[in-house]
Amino acid sequence: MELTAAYPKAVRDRQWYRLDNAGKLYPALSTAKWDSVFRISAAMKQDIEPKRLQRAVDSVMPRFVTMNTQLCKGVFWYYLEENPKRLLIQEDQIVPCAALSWREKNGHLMRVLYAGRRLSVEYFHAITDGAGAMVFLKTLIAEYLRLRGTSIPCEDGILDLRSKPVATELEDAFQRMPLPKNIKRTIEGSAYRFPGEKMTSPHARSITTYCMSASQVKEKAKSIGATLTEYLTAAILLVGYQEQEKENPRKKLPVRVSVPINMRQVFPTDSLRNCSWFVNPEIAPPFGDLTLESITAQVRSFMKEALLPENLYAGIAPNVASENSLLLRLAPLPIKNLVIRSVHKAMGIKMVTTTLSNLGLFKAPAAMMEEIEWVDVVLGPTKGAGTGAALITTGDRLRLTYTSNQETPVLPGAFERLLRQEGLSITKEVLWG
Amino acid sequence: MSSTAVFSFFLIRLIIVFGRISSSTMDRAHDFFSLMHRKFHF
Repeated sequence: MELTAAYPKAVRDRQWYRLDNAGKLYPALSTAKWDSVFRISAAMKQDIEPKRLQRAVDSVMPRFVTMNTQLCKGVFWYYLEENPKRLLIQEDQIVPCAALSWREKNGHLMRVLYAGRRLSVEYFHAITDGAGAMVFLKTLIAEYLRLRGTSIPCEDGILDLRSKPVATELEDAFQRMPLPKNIKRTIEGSAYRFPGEKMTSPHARSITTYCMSASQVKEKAKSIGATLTEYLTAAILLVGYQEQEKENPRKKLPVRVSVPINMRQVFPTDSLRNCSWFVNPEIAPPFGDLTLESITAQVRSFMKEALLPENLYAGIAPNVASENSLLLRLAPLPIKNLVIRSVHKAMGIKMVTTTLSNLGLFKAPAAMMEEIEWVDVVLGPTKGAGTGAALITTGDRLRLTYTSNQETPVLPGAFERLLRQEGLSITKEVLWG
Repeated sequence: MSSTAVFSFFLIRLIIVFGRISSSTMDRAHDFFSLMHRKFHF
């Protein structure tokens, strides 16, 4: 395999793109040892052939123009510039979701990894979100399978490599949304955080996957009138409540779960960039006697209100307004970075107890589904001490993966016990740590 | 060789050389302004 290959282009011929609204935050928060990175993996039914995978990557990368980029520093903002260097696949031996070396010259903002039957792609959150990442992974797998002789149609989110990128794929959809004017940001107070010191090594993390039957969990959720996400969110809230009761602190805090929402379901766009918002269902003190059923009812009623398009737009509006304010735009990049880091340190980390990201049902053409056993999504560790989860369903296989950088994370074990008590059958796999 | 032919030869050479210089200067200027545009966008 070639070590490197470049297609030299003059600066004037290299495309460049402004970062999207959410994407602007991640480089500012990034350090040499930590980036906001997430991974989506697919377990194929046969071992990955590296040479063929590299050929598939070579074919797919030019189609995803905003992902085939490097991050450059401007005077006022970071920006993406077409990366002249070829993205080389790597054997999956490194720590999952390790920081990317984007500060290096022509450093890519994603990596493609393989190990046995598992194909993984890790993305820097500045270039895309879960839904955009899924389009890339599906298109890559489709091309890989085509090179092996399987015919895969371009449907279910697989892009046609012969077509040119359309403008909506590259857009920051937040800028086009019908956002209300003069909306003030609602600042939620501090939330309960699970106990546990942050591991000392920046590479240390524990990644545990819980495999369940999606239909079994859905049935359980349906029996108490909830969706799968609402049910699992309620389970995490209950664990948070129980842990806080055990600790019995002088001042009890709300337990709050951040649930990302794919805004493409609300606003029609083909954007491959960040297009997610989040809602934060919570239970607040005084708690009273809480059960999974009562919390689920609370989450359900919260979600019903929060997921109304006007409420989602009202949440996004202050962020877009600040990005577009002349004062902030004219502030030099180091000042912006300082402000973003301070605000994140003061509020961002403390505002939520944990995260639960549901990427939904993995859909692909039948010929491709036959070659895939399961798909998995792994969140990178948080900057401060914390534990977060992400899930995805392939057929009836629901895989929920916890990532933690805490010495002894409380949440995954307690969550597993709770679901077992609820009568769900779970198997556990440890990916790392 | 007539003086017209000599004059034409040198004139054509001059145009070619000047053309090369101006094209590379234009490219450099283009590169410079492209870079400045992305570095200073706000």
